[in-house]
Amino acid sequence: MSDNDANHDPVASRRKARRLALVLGLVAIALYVGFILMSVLQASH
Amino acid sequence: MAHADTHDHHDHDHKPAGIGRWLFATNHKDIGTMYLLWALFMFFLGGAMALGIRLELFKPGMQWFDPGFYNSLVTNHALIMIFGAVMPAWVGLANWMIPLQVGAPDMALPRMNNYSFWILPFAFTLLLSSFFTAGGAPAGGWTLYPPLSLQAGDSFPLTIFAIHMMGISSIMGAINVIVTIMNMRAPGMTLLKLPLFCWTWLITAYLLIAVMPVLAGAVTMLLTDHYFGTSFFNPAGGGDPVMFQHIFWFFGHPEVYILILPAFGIVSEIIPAFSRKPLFGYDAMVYATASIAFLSFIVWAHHMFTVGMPLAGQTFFMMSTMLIAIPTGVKVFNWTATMWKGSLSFEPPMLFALAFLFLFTIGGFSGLMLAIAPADFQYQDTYFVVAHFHYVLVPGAVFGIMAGVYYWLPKWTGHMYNMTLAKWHFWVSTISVNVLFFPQHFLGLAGMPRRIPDYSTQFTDWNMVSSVGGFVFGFSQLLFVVLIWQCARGGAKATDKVWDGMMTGLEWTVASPAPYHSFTEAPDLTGVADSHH
Repeated sequence: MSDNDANHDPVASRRKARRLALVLGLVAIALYVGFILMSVLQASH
Repeated sequence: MAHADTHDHHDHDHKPAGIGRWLFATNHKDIGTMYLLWALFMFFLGGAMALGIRLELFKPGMQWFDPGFYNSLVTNHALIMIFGAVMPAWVGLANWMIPLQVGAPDMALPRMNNYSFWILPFAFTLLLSSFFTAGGAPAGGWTLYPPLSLQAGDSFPLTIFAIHMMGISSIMGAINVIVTIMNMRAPGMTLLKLPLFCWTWLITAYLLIAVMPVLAGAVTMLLTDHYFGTSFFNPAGGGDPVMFQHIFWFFGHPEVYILILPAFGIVSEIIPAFSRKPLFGYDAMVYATASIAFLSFIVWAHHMFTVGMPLAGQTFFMMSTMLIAIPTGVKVFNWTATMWKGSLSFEPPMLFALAFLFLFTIGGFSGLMLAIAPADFQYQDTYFVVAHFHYVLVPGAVFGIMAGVYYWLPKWTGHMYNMTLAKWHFWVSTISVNVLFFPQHFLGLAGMPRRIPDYSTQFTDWNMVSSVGGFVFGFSQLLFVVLIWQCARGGAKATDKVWDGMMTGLEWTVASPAPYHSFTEAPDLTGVADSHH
């Protein structure tokens, strides 16, 4: 597995961390909305 | 000169003063401490409810509580122990240890870390305030199955909102763990050099992000069914209450692994340390953890075999559930192989890790029994299920947390704790937890249903035994509090390495107590051979 040396540059690594956090947060919101929409489809079947 | 040294030391270790240090905390160690103290408080609150349950069940007939209040105790005991005690304890340990183990100065997102923690007191104030509403606290079980949960009184929106807040807190905590491990590792620390606690927490965090929104979606739909005229789970409007069970357990089963995977990580660190041998099969441990996490998404309906599903469905969920025994077996055999021909010693962390190994495995075996669909028809909703999941969660998850606390407490406080008291705590807890839960297998196999305040007289003897075990276990946890209090106040000075074992993590390279700001410059591990392979 490749060496991750992101923390050679703390500023860059924090920027990458914030970007990944944003993606993960959006995934969580998408799952929340997705499961409700899926249930709407199922219930209106 | 001495004065100058002291001054420098204080500058380096500068802590904010007063209540602001805690309210506006961004330091991972402070937030970790708050999480752990919160978890301990909730452990006693949920434990007090458990003692109420065991008090009522000490003998048949109604003794102390009315049945509605008894059901509230059962429901809130579960919600508090899962969301208030075990999960925050893991997040507390993650906060304290992950930055220290990956060589980072702090968690990647310290302010979000603060929000994650401070949401919790509000969430639990809402949940617990429901005890004072018309109709009392939620009493339909922590699974909130409709239509029963929809019959709750004014407690209903408080509970739903509290669960949303707990979920938001968990998701933010999980995001922080992932981005810290992925982006803040010291140079040269490849993923396969990570300590197992970080690995298991990383996988746990992905599980949390995947399933907490599912729980939030399910309870949002309960809310709209209750107040806004939807019929997601109401057959009268074309909905299906069984759909709630599917959605709930799609969250609920991975949740079980959220509660236990970090314990696997801690045990995977403690056993090599006190066996004085590298962990047997490090890579296999990582892949086994990932396999368990994957399988946790495809087994959910084993919680609901009796709702009436097609034979193919039963067979699929039975088989997929049994598959979990393979990666779990890999772990148990690897821990055992790590000890094989090791130079073992039995300090308190090792004692708790060994108890975990034996007793969690008992919970695993009863889980295999429950996985067998036709047998589950007999076990469903009996005390056998209660015995099973308490073996997994108490001498499993809770002992894992205690093993971790006993392992790292001297690193946190800078003092060794009272070993005699710790061993007393271990032996009294380990014996009493078995007296508490083992008889519940017999009660379940004999047909005693769960979630009832009264029972047939044939179940009296083992219920009495179980209650005695429960009270001894509950009060023996006061030893843990005394020990932590003493260790925080003083005691023999802990060395940086703390234990005379084979510890390889970066946390043992910093002073004891760990300085308020550690790894302000990342350690460089490039070219350093890892100790796992």
